Amino acid sequence: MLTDSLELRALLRSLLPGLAITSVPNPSGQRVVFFCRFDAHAVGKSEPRQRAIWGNVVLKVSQGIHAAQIAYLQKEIEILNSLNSIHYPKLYWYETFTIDPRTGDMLPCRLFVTIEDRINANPLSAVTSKHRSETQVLAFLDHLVVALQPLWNHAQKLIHRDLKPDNILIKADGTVVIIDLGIVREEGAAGLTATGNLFGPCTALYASPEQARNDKKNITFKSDFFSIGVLAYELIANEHPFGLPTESILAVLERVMNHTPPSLYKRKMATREFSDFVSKLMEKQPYRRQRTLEQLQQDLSSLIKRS
Amino acid sequence: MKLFHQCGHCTKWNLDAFNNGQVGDGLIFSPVHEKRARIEAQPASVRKASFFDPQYYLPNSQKAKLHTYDFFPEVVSTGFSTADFSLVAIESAKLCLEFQAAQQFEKLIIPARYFSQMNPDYTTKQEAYTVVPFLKEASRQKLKKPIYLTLPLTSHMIEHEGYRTDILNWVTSFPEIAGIYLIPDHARQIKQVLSAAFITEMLKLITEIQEANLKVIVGYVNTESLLYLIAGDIDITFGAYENTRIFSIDKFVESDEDRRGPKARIYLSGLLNWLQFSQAKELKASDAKLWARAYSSTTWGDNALKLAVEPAFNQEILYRHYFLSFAEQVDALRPLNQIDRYRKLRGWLKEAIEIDKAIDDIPIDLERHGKGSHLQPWLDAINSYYTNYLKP
Repeated sequence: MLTDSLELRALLRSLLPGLAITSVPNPSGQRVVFFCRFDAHAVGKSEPRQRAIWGNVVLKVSQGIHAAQIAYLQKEIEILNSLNSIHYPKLYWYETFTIDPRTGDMLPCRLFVTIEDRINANPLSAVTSKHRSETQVLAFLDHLVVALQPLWNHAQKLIHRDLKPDNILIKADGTVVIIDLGIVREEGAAGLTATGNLFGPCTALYASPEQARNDKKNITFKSDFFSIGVLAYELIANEHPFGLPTESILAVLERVMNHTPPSLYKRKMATREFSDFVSKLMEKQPYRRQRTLEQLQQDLSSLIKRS
Repeated sequence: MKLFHQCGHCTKWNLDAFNNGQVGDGLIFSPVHEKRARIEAQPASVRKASFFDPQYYLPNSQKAKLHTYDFFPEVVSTGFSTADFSLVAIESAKLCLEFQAAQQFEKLIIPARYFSQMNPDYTTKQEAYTVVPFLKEASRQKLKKPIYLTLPLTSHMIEHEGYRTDILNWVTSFPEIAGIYLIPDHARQIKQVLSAAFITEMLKLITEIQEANLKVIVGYVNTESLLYLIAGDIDITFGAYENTRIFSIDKFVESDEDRRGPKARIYLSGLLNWLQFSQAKELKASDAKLWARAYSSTTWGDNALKLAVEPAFNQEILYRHYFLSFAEQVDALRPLNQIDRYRKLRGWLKEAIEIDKAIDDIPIDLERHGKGSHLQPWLDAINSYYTNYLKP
């Protein structure tokens, strides 16, 4: 698996003249991610020429070993380009590298690099303490649902499938930006992972039961509803409903499928209405969750009015 | 809550009952029985209160009237084959929705294929066959009327919890759909449903669909549909010939030739059942008080009972009595909440059990379809529903 290293950074600088890595965000997924910018003087005439005016960017590097992984990445690019929404980062450029320019040798594994706009915002994981009351969480969920609409309402009925605190950025005005669309799936599409896999691509702690089972035909926008329920529960309870990040993936997924956490109301952490709303989002069977985006929004607005 | 005429042979009876008798809230037109031109010729007031079941249940049906519809799978693909239908599925959806929209029907129906077995690919096949093409077309045509998805399910599918859950997850995954046109296919030896388990599971299914904020129309149902009303404000159907009250795929292959008809039957609301006309007359003659408890008087029924000759099964008189008598029962339940509907139905069923016993004591030995053997299972089913869902 690709990791951040001096060698990788040196290779990237040789591939992308002028690259200046400024910091590294929390590790996420199978890609190495850098925050960086390009030194205008050092860029010269190399491609991509416009990089000097991009400012702060996010550079993601992956080793496209498997066709499925490359396909996921290409899917992300295709989606980002088609969404054209303030709730998703702008994708500036991407390229596949197969040759080390320093030696002219073939790289042991091809590198896939994307460069996208760096959003001036904090990931939810860094600001959870500001989202502890029902009112705060409802306001956040309202923004989150607005941000996800371009995906769910997309002609191809897209599903994020990996909503989690590190993938949700919150701007100062509360606007939400969704990142890491690497495992977005078109509802009803065959998908890029084998059906026989024990579980589908996901982050176990925020996965829905149908993702945990890799039950592809039932993975719909309502799988994202489940993840939203988990986020809401975790924010209010200040603990995760299905396990700890240190536990094994299988142990967490087993609980996602079979354990129903006590309601927030029973735990005296939320009003009955809010608690019922979250429990409905986290129903094991998709048909028991809010059936449409409109219903989710209606439930949210009546809770917001009440709070 | 609405009561729709499930049309079949002799739709003119349903139309007359609806137009001139104010019986029923609308009609469900049946293309296997009605040529396209006749439906198009109905007044707008009728069409707007009604809807159209495209009946794609058997896509290669050779029934002539179905072939008057250019969108029917066998017609649009000039000889249906499963492998090739995907090429014309969108065209079929386009034409079918254009027809439904042009008729200004109350709602739009996405048809479905009928599967007699628990097919593991049920949802995938239905999606490819009609659901996805119809939803795409409805969106392209910017249709605003509520869209209902036809869901033909055998009793095995309904009673199998895992299968039912899969179906529920599937139907609730289409935000564009407003409701389900549920077609239960319960194979049976006698005309009434005898299985308390089936009724219980149907009530559960209806409840689960409604809890997902989807409307429900239960099609092709006999008098057991009254029981389903305790699950909430759903729409139910009633019809003249038996094949409008019991779903059978056979009607899409049977010939339209006149066959030797069954013995005439009359609906006795007090028994929640149909009795052979001759046995009903025997009951009337034997015990006037008991007859008054079993029979709800209508002009059509009274006139039939006065006839010197027993009416034939293909005459309207006894069906028109049924329309009125059954609609009266529905109207009695209509304004009530679920608990009060349960209480009223429980009262009716207990009364029916008593009447049935008293008939036996006369003695009149009702033939097997007229016996009250369905009553106790029905009572058990609604009691179970009350305990699990309604009891405060």
